[in-house]
Amino acid sequence: MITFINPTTFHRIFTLIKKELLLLWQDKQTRIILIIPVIIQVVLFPFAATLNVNNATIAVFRQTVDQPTTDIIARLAHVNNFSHVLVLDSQQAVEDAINQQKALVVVQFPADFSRKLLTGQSPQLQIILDGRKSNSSQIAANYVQQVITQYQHDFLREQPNYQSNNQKPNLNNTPNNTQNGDQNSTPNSNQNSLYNPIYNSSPNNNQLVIRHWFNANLDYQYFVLPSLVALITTIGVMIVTSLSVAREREQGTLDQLRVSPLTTLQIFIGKAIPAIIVATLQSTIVLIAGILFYQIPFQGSLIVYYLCIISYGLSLIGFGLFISALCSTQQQAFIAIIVFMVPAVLLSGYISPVENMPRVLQYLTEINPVRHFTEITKQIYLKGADFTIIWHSLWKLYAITLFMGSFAYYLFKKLI
Amino acid sequence: MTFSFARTLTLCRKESKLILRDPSSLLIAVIIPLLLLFIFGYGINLDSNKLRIGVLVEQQSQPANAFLHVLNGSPYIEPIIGSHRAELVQKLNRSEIRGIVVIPVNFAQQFATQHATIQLITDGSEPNIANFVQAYMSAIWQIWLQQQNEDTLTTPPTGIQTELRYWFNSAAISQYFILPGAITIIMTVIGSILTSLVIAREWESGTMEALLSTPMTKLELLLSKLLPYYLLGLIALVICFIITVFIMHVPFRGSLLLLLLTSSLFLFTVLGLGLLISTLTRNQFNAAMIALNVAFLPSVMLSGFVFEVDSMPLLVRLATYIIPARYYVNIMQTLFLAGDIGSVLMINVLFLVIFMVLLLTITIKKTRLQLD
Amino acid sequence: MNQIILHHIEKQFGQDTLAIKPLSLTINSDGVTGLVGPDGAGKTTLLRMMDGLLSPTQGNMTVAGLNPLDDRASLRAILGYMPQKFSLYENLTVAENLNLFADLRQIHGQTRQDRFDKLLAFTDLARFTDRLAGKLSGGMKQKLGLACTLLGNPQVLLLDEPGVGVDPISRQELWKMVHSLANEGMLIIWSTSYLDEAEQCQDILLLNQGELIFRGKPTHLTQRVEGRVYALKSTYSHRQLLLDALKLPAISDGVIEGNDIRLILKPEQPIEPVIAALPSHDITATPTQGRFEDAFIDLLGGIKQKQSVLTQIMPTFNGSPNDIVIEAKGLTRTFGTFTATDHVNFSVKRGEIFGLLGPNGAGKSTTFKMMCGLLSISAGQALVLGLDLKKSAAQVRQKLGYMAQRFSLYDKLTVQQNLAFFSGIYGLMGRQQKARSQEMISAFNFQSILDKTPAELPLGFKQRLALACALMHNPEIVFLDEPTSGVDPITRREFWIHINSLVSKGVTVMVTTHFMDEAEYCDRIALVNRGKLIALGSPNELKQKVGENATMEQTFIQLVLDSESKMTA
Repeated sequence: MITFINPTTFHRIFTLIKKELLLLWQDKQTRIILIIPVIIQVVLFPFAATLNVNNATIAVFRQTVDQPTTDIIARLAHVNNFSHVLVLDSQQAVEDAINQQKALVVVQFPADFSRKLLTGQSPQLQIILDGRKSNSSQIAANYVQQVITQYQHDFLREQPNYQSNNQKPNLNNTPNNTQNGDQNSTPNSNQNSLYNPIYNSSPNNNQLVIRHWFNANLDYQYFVLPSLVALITTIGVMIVTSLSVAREREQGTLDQLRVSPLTTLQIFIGKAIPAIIVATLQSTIVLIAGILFYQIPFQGSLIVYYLCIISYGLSLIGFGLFISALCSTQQQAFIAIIVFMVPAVLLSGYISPVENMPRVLQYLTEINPVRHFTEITKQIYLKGADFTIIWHSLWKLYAITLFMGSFAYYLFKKLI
Repeated sequence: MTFSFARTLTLCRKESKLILRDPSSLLIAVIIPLLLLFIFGYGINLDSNKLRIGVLVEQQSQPANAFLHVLNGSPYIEPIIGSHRAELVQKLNRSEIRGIVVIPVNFAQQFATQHATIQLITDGSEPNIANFVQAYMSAIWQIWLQQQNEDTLTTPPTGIQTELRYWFNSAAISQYFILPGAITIIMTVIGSILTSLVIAREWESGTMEALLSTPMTKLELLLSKLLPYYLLGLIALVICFIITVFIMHVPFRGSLLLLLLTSSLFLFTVLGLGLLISTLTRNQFNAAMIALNVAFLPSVMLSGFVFEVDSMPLLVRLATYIIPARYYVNIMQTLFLAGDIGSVLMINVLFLVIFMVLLLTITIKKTRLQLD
Repeated sequence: MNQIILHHIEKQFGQDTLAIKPLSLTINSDGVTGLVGPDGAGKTTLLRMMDGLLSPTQGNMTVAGLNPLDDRASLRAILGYMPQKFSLYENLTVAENLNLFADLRQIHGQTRQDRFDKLLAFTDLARFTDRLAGKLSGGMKQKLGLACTLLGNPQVLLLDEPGVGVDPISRQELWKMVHSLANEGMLIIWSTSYLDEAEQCQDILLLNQGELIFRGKPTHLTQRVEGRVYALKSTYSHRQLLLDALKLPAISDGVIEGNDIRLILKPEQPIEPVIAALPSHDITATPTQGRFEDAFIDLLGGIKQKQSVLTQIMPTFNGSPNDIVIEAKGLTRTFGTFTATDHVNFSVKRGEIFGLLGPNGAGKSTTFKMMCGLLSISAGQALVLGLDLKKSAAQVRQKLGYMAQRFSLYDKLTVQQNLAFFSGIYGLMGRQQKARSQEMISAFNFQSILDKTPAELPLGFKQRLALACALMHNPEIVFLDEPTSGVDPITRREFWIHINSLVSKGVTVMVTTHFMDEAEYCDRIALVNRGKLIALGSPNELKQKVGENATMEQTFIQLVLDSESKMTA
């Protein structure tokens, strides 16, 4: 280890790193592999990977044409998330609309709906949803319910016999008792949607005031972009480490390195640092796209963020070099990368939150570096979290680095 | 040159032996599908079952306690009582809780004048969860209001009762639609990635040159590559079907014949894609990378398997039309959950047929029995 | 009688690469026709056109009266083609491979059984029918490939370098098989870059850069150098003698053969002035038989680079020639139950060229890899400068140079970047690194190709670059793993001139090879078979064991066969 300070050692490692970066840059094939997925993902994912409901078609079926149902339909048509309102004329049409996926949601007014409403009874309203898309339809139903609640509120207030304790309903009543000084940076009360943040759920002025912190409009892109940094860093590190070792093995240059005075540790470091450099550059592309193009404000400290990216890269090095120690061809390495990456990404909280997984899986994800970084990246990017919060996940990355790193180093020394 | 059935059979047998003897094809054809099904069946769950919500009661009172009582009774919420706001905010930042409910100091007085305000803060960094928090909390709020009204015997509620009915999936379980979609991904992996690797390997190792020096015809070559992998895909389909229906208990309401027919269509489409990629690249590594970017990623992102196609912006939505997986995902979700709905299946089948014919035609055109 | 007739055949790849220049000729089924030429001469392209795998850019040809492109179906029935790369399914057994190709050629029933029996006996593969093709040795793979090709009982047989990577024994067997087929009237074309194989052919087509430069019997070519070849004996260092001789303008070419040297004079040059010009006084020169390779090199204009600049840029390593610098003590390596190297002992002295020879799969590369620290040792010791390389400190490895079989350079780095990299990892930096790179660049004439990548360079350049990279740090020991495989004879000779001058500076060289003429350059040879060391000594000593006038190839074959019978006895 003392030789580390030795300028020759330093120069040797520098030579290795320079070689690796030149190889990555000069080889058209590798260049494409490193750049194309980044572009596809940055362009496509933020738009495609959304669990929001937009452009959805809502269908309505009423047996009597009257004022209350017309009002409700008009209000539904105003919801931004629904692009089309389909008016149906028969029970059969309702069935077809759902079966044939013409609509995600059908709101069905019974014949006595308006009569009951006007006579002060509780009318029934059926919301039929396409269970093939239970997640989207659930969210859509949510929007419908908000509309109904709001309508009911307004409807009752307009009734002549309605005795209210307060004459002036205050739609934009913002309570003053919940703001905290250090949360000023959090985007809040961006209430541009008529129906979104406020529930007035009874004919009085009791209120449930809802604020979405860190992402006032629950915009999915806020979620995707920081997660993309994690995804792309992962691909970068895995490809550079695993594939480059396999390629050197296939071409015989690895033997050249092994007969040279380089130590295994130097070769190890010579593979690790370029991978981290590449991954950092790739994530910078995503970061720039996120901030400038997608206009998602970066809340935390860039220095801490880069520190975390590098730490994350380090934790992946162990996995990458572990694969490369075991695989003798590029094809094997490629398949091994898929076998590692697909589960690691799927179980990282990127597609669905870790807390929804069964307990056993949740424990298992503790050794998944992608999971910890997925948490960190959102905490810094969106929540502006400070170091004490980050540290909670960061130390686990270091633990993984230490464990997998030494394990891979052991295998590397033994098998290479 | 005349087509020989016996020769085709020989080539298919050879291909099958090679599949069985190569650990990496077994890895792709068996291990990855099982892993994916397991992950999608157990690991990916879009329905939040029990959300941890921080609760801050700034002052104890009867209405506040009543609200807490309703919260505690909810099957969807796990209240975490906090004593300081800062503490809960910290937890929210750490993603330990997904929302904060604040019951203010003067809540009892506010309620007395019908001006009660409860604040709900959600964690917007997880939009899907935030949506659920919002929905669950609104429901709880409604229940609480109703209870309070009954207790105090003030204005009786004349609320519109909404009744949610999820057709095909009454409990709104996300696995029901994710698992049929996951089968699509598995078929794509086998059809495109595996095939493109295997054929490119024949070019690389020089065995293709030896085959080309025999009386083998173009049709025989293509069939020998299509049929074994088609069979492999069908085996994977059966495994997936058994796991999905009998272990994960996803209902299957369509007909098995239609499942077989549509799956065959899709398999030939992706096999055509895999063949085309490997014929054009003749290099394993490039073939795998192209297959990953052209077949695998789009089938995950743009097929509507998790992410709703309709919710995407127009340009992206248009792009999904050229992704064969999109049609198959729709077919699978319909067959599993809704049954044989003619009009839905028809249009999707039509598109799949177009893609299959197109891809296979180009592949036949591009396949040459010569090296240059 | 079958014929292949080429009429103004021409093949162009891309814009300006002319792989085959216009060629017209007729090949008859009259013994084996050798398609000979250096790497990149166009041999494979020509064979592929005859098989219909490539279409000619210009001209037309008929193979047994058929057009390879238009009559593909009929041609397949009478033609067998064995591609250069091993082209059997490694995951199928010998029997399964045979069955596959029999089915593809639609051979059934009794005919099929008869042919299987005949071919398995012919190739001596009957014992291995259940073995996976991937587990066969190189020689057996080639025999199986030939068997699969012969299944259809072809009238025309095209073989693309069937002898590459095959040891002399297997090669001899292959030739026997082919000769007996040729006697039955089959038209056979055998392409090769081993020029000793060419002597076995009835008819030679010598290609160079896509051009036919000789057509005829091998003896006709050899006649070119008749009376110009001399064997020189002397007590003087044979290596130095060769280096000195090559400097003389009258010399076209020269090689080492055991303790002697062979010189080929330029036309019309007498031998006497040459002997007079050499520094030694006890030289006896005897005229000797010219070889095909001598004639080949002479035809291509003799060797160009007759002196190695390495003499000027490598330091001299002083030290007693009795120092033992490389030593194997009871060296053993097992893979599972298989012993690849079995208690091998030898030692190499300073300034020696030490050769490791043996048939395919005999364990020579396992031994070689253990010696240079690439493979761990099961038992015994592999010492270099008294230390085990696998465990030893970097300081020892600093003194080694290593050149891998396929000239393992970074294909995507330019020549300049490769030089910078290899000097960098050996600890050269700053001005020293620049100066050393510059020396290598001018020594090997890399100036014009500095910005090219090895992938774009001819094999000869790659080989020189690999050598330069291995010598950047002035190693005192150099390991060479099949350093000349696939390289044409001229480049191979030039390479050995470099190695000779390295040795003259006191560098120790350890080398593995399949070329018997390269074995002649070694001071001592270790011959391994089935993991055991079966013979050790100078080339002359080994030849003596077999017979007075034995060639190196005869010696090799005899010694290996002797050990086989001893081991099985």
